[in-house]
Amino acid sequence: GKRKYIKPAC
Amino acid sequence: MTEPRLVHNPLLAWRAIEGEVVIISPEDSVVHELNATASFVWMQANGERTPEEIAVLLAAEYEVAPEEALADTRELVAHLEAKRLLLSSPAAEGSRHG
Repeated sequence: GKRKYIKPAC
Repeated sequence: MTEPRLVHNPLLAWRAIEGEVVIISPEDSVVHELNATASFVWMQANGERTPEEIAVLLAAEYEVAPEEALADTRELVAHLEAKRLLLSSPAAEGSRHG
């Protein structure tokens, strides 16, 4: 149930 | 000391397209695009949540340690505040009168 994480960025 | 809640700058126009947020800032004519996790943070900033609360939600939704989610959320929020896309508002309880 968890989504693959990428660092939050603009 | 109440924690500041994050709220979108009301002068902006934004829309989520396939899970990714596009923000138009008419003041400086800039279009900002956020990736999926930044879009998640953006959409949680509804004037009722602190960066810490948003980081908890981020860690619950994505494969990331809570500490990393908090550090990344704070970094993103600082960036968006510097760009005047996000604003910090005092906690609702603290700003009520009467």
